Amino acid sequence: MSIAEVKTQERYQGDGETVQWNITFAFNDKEDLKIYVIGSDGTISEVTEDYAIEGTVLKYPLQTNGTQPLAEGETLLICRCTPMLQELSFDAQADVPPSVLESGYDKAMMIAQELAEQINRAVKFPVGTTNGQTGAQAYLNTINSAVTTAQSAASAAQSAASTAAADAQAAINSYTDTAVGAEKLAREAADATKLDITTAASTYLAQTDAASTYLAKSDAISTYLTQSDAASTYATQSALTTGLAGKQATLTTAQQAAVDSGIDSTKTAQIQTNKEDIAALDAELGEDRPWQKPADWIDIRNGAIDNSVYFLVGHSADYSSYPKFSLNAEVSTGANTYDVYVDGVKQATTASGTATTLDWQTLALSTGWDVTHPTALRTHVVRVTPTTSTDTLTRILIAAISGQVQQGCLWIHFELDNTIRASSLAGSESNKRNLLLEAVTAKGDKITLQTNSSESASGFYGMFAHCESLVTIPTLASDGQYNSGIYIPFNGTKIKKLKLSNLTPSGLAFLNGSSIEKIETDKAISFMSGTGSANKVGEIPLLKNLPPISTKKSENILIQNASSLGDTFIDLSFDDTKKTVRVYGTSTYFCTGVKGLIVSSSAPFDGASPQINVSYTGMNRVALVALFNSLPTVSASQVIDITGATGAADLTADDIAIVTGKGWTLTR
Amino acid sequence: MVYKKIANEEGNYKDVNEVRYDVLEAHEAWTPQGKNVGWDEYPDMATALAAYGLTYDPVGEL
Repeated sequence: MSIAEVKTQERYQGDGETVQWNITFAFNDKEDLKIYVIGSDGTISEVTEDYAIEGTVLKYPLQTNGTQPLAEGETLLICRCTPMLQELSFDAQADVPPSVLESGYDKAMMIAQELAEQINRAVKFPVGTTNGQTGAQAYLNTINSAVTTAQSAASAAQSAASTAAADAQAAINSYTDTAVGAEKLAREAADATKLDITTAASTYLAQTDAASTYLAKSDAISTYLTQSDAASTYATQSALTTGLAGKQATLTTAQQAAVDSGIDSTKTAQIQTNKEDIAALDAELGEDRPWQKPADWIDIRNGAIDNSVYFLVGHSADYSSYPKFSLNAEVSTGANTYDVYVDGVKQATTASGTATTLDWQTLALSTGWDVTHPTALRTHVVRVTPTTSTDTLTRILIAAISGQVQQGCLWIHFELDNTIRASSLAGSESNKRNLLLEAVTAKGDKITLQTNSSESASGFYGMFAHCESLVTIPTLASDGQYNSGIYIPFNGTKIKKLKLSNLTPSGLAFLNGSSIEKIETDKAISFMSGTGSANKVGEIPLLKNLPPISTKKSENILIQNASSLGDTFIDLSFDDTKKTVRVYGTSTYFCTGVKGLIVSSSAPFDGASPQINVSYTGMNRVALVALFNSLPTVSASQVIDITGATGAADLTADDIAIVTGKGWTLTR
Repeated sequence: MVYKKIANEEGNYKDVNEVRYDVLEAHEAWTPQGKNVGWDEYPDMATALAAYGLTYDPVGEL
């Protein structure tokens, strides 16, 4: 062969897979090849096993013992190292085959190439070096000197580096000290600021919590009210829905079309008109609707505690209106006390019979509940209860306040089982006004009042007088004791229905200022002796029907100014006790409904004149003549007054003669 | 108008001696003895009270 290429090595890069490598340079024997692996860190290791050379292919690794192929970063080096031996021997005049001669030349060239490869890797003097300069020792001395110089320089450099490092560290330390000091100052200032902020934040958070609590309570209250209203609305809507569903099923096609056309302003206006018509019809029929709590009022009936009286009281936000509220209570054990709570917090413990005045501006209160009805007010719930739980409240009233006439009570609720005295509860002729009081309610819709007139504050005197917004009260019941008159308790109120139980008052006198239209009672009113203001059914101009009246106990009958009575006929023909009978009105309070009266012909009629008075009544001539015919004969010129009666001007001389013939004087 | 003064311990009028009376007032009074017999004619109540020497002092009113 020829050696046309100077190549004595082969290098291959590992790839983790290849295990066969081509040998592309000439070689005589595979034993002349050396295999090396150069690791990724440059470490050179000779491969002496686990390989095979077949022809010009090296197989490595054989993987017989689990050796993995060369990894990436590893290098396979195949070198030719021909032995430097000449083993040819030629005999004189013997044949020299060309192949043998060529093989010798090839081997020599291979060896030369290998030596050249090694020389190329050696350190050499430059080509211009003379023989005298090629002394190894001198060269080594030069190298050593250079090494020494380099080492010195390196040492100096290291020292300088150390100095620089020290200087840098010193600078760093100095800066650090300064920075730390500044940081310390800054941190202290920050801490101080942080403390201020924290304190302010805590205050803010506390206020926020309080506000959140207030808002949550307000939201809860609003939600409750909304839910109550929604529940009421839902209940109403449910009933309406059920009703409408039934009605809709009966609609004709035309009617359904009308419904489907929707609700417009005309229909809405018609609805309002219908509501007004219904209200008017209710009034005409004597129907009344239950009081509806205003939506934004807290319901003081909910969760009411026994043996307590509650007041919902308001004041303006700036305290200029209704700045104070005062009450007085007595308890069953006179030496004991009563407690006053506001919004659930006890504010006072007061001796029985002594007033408690609440100054809204100075009390430490919750924020209460803001309302818009009847005007913008902040309301609070006042609860009165005996301090000793075994005591009971025996008297309660809103007390007068010196320098303040108007008080802001909106609602009173009695949560009692016992009898109580409540004369002048919320009303007065002059020194207190509860013009905002709209409702009085009670457990079981009944207040049992002590009516023994020998006890202070018994009876009904002035209970609600001048409470001009009052529209509803519960049943007023008696403890069954001696009954005084029900005198001016409702003057000026808007109460339409009076419900009485176990009461036999000596009279009902409301001084023309009452709006009562109906009296429901389970016992008859019993007139007492005398003709005084309390002994009459008097001055109830809107009363539509007389309540049951027992006349037997009274010698005098007085029904005055009942100008709204329906047709009423009074028959006293069985009652022979009467001294006077006066059923009359005035030109202002004309009692059109009084249509007839007859008396007993055995009654004495020896009371004050006029012994009979039917002036300004609706008695026509026929009714008057019937009365005349029932008269007893008298001898003391008793007087019968028919002034202004419907039939007074229609009487004939014969009619009048009936009266005068029995000894009576007739005035008209 | 005709008026009549009637003694009544519970009357609404009194004289200087604190004796109480009632005063009845009417357009006309038909008595057993005849029209307005025993009754006094005055133009108005005030004149009648003055004539009777009475003042208004109601009893039992509040």
